Amino acid sequence: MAGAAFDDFVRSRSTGLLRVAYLLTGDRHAAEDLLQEVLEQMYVRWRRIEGAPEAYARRALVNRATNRWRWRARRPETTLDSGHEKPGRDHGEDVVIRAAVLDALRGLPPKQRAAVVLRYLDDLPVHEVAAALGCSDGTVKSNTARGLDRLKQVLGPALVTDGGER
Amino acid sequence: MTDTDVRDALTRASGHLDPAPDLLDRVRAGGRRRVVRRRSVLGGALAALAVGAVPAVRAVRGAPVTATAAGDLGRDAELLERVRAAWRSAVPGLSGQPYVHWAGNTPAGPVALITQSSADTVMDHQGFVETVGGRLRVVAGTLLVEPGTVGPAAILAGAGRDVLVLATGGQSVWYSETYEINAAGRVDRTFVQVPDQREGVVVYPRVDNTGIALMLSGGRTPRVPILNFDERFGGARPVRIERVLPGAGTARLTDSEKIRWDLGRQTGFLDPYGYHFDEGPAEWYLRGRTADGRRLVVQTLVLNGEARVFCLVGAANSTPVVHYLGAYGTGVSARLKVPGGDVLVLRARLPEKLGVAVAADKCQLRFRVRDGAWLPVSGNAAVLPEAATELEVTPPDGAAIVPLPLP
Repeated sequence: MAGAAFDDFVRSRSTGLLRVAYLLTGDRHAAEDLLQEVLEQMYVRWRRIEGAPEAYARRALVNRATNRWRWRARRPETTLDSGHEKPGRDHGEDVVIRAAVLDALRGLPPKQRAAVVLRYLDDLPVHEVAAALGCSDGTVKSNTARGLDRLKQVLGPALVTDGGER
Repeated sequence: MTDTDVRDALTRASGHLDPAPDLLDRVRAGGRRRVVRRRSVLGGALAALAVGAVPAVRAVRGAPVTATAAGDLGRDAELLERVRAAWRSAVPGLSGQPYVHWAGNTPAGPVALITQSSADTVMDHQGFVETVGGRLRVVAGTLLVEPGTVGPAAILAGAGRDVLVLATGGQSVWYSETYEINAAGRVDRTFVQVPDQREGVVVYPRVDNTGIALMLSGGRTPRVPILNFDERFGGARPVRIERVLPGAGTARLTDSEKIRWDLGRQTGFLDPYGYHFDEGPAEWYLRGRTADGRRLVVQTLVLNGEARVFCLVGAANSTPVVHYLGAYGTGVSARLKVPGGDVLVLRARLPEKLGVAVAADKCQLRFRVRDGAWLPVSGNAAVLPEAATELEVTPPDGAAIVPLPLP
């Protein structure tokens, strides 16, 4: 079972993984649940995955986030539209950006969303994103390019209009 | 909107999030519950089998057990079975059958490369089995790979951990036996392509186990993993101590400034594909300003336990000139023997008569010019005036004060 190395992994990487999960799900509570589930799973299997915990965690996060998305698509929920995290007038600039980013990510298919988040938030090279998504390098590149184009289209005006100087 | 803008937007959109302080406790508690559940389920299934109930057998993914593998021991059926048994016992709970890809004699005894599928992760686990004291033992650490594939990975086998067994995974892997620090303080390596082996595994006997580097073609990162390197040689990375010296201003460096002004971010001064001891003296990053208003950084970088000292000078918005001042032990440092343990002192005279950089972790410092009065140093690091000739170090725990001539 897991020991000090697992604790170190959780302490050092949970912030980054939570942020990835947040952008994959678009919801803070879902992201926290998702991360805890994945880490519990890793706790049980730690000895087997100790050589590559990051790769395992990313893959599990993406798989679970995608499954969650599929599940929600089959059984649409009535909550958490983009208004959920929409800022009030007096919120900070980051909150404005957050709302715009979440809106934009929601509009992307899960694989494109995951590719963009892992490439641009986690700064992963293409082949590591491919390992996390279970697809080829070429698919990652095309998913990233498409996702990025779409994101720029949606985010560009939103950030210029609402964000002001960055 | 550029790619950098997108990166910045994603970072800012999620930068407010931090995990709950009790996350680790909750994960451990949840993990333990899962272990108990799994054991209950497994116990129930075994009990059902024992009483002859019809088990629900599910076809599992995985490569078939083959009678032979690549390598000069690949036809030794008894050895292959022992390899699989050792693997199963060390890595239990995987689905499918373990598949021995290669088994061969090495100067460290028989070694085997093995994979097994995992229904949990949708990936295969890849590892090595080595010989220790005449017995087979699974090397600590496994690699997750795409199902049915072998990834580039290596181990250091043998009592001295000096036999490199490298699986190329059908990829173009480049090997470097050792490195040198050149006159500019950069890491110099010569890589040679690992010969294309039909069997996919190459053995290098008697390697310098903290000098080698393994790189995938095209310099792709990360480096090829040596699965058991940390088990023997890993440790805590040296602590990095940053000090902003008087006059440097309190503004933090921007990301683009850090890339230019922090050699720890520049691959030429690091060794991204190499394997080294992690431990070593503290890494200093002192940022100040010269009398004529230029930015000044004195930085030490540690590789294999040895520190190199650099001085960076230039206009804040420019790319600095980098001076390599030497490695610890060559006049830029001193080792003080005190009762509580050795104290390493940085004492490097800077170019252009910019002064003398001094630093000693957890110590108090004073300096003087010839026989003048001792003057205090604020903190445990500073750039002293060029005229300074002597440093006084008060080690931690009240040990005796040590006077030290400056270079």
